Amino acid sequence: MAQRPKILIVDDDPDYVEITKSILESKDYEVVTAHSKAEAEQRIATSRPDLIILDIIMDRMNDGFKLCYQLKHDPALRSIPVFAISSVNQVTGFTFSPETDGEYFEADDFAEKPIKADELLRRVENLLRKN
Amino acid sequence: MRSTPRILVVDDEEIIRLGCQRILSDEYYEVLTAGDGCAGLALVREKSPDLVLVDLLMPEMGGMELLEAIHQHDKKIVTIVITGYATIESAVEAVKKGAFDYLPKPFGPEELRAAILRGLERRRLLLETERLRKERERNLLELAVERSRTATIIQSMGEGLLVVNQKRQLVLLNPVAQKMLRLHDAQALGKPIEALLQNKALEEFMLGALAQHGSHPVLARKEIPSGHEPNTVLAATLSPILSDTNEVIGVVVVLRDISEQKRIEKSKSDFVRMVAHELKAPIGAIEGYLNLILDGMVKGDQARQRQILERCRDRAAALLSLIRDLLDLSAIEAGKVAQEMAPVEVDKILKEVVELMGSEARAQEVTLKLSTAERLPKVVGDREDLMRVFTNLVSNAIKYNRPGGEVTVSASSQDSYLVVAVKDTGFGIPPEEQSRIFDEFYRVKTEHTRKICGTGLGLAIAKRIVECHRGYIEVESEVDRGSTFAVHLPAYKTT
Repeated sequence: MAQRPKILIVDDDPDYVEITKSILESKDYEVVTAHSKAEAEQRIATSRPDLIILDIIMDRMNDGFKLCYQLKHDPALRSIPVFAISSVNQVTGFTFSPETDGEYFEADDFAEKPIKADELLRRVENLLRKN
Repeated sequence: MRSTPRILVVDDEEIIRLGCQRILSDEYYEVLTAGDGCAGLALVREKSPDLVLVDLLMPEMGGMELLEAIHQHDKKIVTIVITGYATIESAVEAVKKGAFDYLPKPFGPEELRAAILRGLERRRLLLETERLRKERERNLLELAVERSRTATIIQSMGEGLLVVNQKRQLVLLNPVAQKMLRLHDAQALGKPIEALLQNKALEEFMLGALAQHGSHPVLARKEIPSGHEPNTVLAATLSPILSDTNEVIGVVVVLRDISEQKRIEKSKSDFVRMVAHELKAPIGAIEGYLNLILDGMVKGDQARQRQILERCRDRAAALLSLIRDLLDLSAIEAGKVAQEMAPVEVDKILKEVVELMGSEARAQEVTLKLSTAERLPKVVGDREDLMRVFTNLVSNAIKYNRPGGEVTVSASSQDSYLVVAVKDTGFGIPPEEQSRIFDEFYRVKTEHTRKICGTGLGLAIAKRIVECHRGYIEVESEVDRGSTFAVHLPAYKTT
């Protein structure tokens, strides 16, 4: 692993990208960003990140899912930890988790928006250490 | 029978005719007489007497012949033959053939009266019997009609209906139920439901109800997947049929297809989920930014702080317009649209919209032009609603444009429609997304649109308003060249 772990943020909300980026940069991580599934694929191909923070509800409702599935079913990429962050909660009756969605959703960690800065950093650190 | 019985005397001997008349008229009978068979028969046909006295020995048409004719005409007319000794055998013959009695000549008033009384008693019985027979027939007919009516109703009802008896046999099934459950077995009736139904849930539901007894069997409802087509759901309402001793002797099940309802419920809950997500996003962003500042992650960087505060303000403003749009959408859902319908001049509305949007266009460095044809027809519409539609389209055309771009608003008459077109020179909409841009919360997301605030409801609202005006809205677009939104509204005929 490089001196500065590289983290890819994938979220279609530019403000979330901005906020998460600020939090991660405050701890000296290198940050790359993508606002769509296509952009994320590009970034992963050009500069392999050490961790991906992935928004689960992207513009086409299941792009986050699809991307996660693709990553975890690609032998070359499956080792990259995926930290899934969702913006829907139980109130809406639309929930998913690695436990309930099995092979379709094999994120390494999972949290709901909004996530507090220290919590985000603690989990990111954990995921990177595991790897 | 008449209150004054009508008696016909047919005899060629005048003395007999007159005698009978005299004796019987005293007894409150109406007496008719005829001197021969033909005249007698004519009177029978014309007057329908209750009783006929027939002399067997007459010239022309003989008594026997007349008797037969009377019986052919109406079996309920009682006949009594008048006969001399010479014709006693004939009289017996006549009785065998249907005459009620015979009266041997010479006869006295008493014998005549007695014979008449007996004859009329017979007549009463015959009429009563007939009346009862007719009544029974009518009842049977009614019953048959009633039965076929019930059958017709059951056959034609929109719900599926099936009845199962205590032996679990299917005893009634209407075509709709047949179709819903795919029971195309012509011999289905009488077979146990386990052998027929390929629907475990329904079968268990029915058998469970059959097994109930003693306590108060109740009406039950259950939603059951039809099992034949995906997403078809049947609502089964089950009610037990009870005997006099309150035993369950069968169950009636009414099936209703509620797939459409379910679909609507699902799209409503999807909508709620989308709304929750759309409401949460800006709040979450604002909270995230505030935490950045509070956690001291942007200390001392004035410009960055200001930029963050501006984003917070923009997201809050966007949230407010989202809430406004949601309220509008629910007002439209509740039918509060196209309320103030009146003939309106669309070119005037367009002029107002263009003036209103002028400053926004300048801010975005977009040229805004209006060109309307001469003598445009009016349209019947709600001015406020139409204003809203065009404002939304023009605002989109400005927002999704490029600096130095143009927006052209035009109005023209095409066939029986007035067409308003809003043309821009913006990013355009990819063909695969064009059908979806009118969906709630659907927003085209590209590099260009990311920073543009929109609720994703504007076009959905515009489309609904236009449709409430019996018009339609279309889009033509080419990526990187621009889009044209055209609103077609039925022209108002002044004729």
